Amino acid sequence: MAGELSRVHELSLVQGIIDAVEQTADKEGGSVKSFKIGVGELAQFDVRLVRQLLEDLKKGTSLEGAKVLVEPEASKIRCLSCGRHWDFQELAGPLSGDEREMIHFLPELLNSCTRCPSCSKSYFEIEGGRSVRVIEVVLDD
Amino acid sequence: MIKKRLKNVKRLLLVLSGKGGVGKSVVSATFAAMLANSGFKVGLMDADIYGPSSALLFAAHRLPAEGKEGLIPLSCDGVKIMSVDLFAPGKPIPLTGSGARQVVLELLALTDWGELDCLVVDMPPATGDIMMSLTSLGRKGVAAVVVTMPDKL
Repeated sequence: MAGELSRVHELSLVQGIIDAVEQTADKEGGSVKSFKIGVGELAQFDVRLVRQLLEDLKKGTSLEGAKVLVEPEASKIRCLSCGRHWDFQELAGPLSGDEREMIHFLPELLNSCTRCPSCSKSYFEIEGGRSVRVIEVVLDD
Repeated sequence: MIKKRLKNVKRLLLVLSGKGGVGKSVVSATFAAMLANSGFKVGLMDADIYGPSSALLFAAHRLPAEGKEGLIPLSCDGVKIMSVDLFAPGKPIPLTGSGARQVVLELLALTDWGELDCLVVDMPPATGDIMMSLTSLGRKGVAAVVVTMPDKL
């Protein structure tokens, strides 16, 4: 996982998630029963920490009584040159600490750090597991 | 999250051009420096992901630190600077249009600009995902400067 300082990044991101879910509820005119968050593998966040931060930051907001579900999302990368699908773990080994840190902040910088394991091109895109996202918001009836 | 980040930015100034190599980055950097020298609070965001120059023009070479509210842009000559080049100095960044757009939006979402009178954005040349995304942010107080050359090329 990226270093200790990334906790500030997680805090900022989780606050953004709380704000986004509240805005969704305001827009739909309801209260939130539960919401599900996906933690993408490329973000390299501690899923337990994200879960804890969500529980802490929703206190005192309109989401205080809502159930929070947090699940990890595996990365999915597709080579646009040869079509091969691969994931972060296939190439996580040779990456330096600095490269992992770069990808933690800006997942698209994966293109600067590695190549397709099949054709060695840098022409690929991230299809899944990029960052932290809201998967679902369930409102009270 | 981007709207929240730019909430205390009074004005966005997009520096555009129809093609590369006309001096957009120099105009962006010079304008930002002039504003800072005049006492304005100014930031410079390098959105030209394929050819970032802002960090070089201001000799900014450090990875941005993380503050309580987000990434802290580097302060150089009174200008707050953010660029992808600070994260991957000297590395090629081969991205699709969609990927480049994502990087720019991510940088805007991560950076704690604080209160600014103006955020100058050095845009990539011509039209594309990044230009269309930034002009679709739906905020007021957006101005544009188009840098041109005095010939048909």
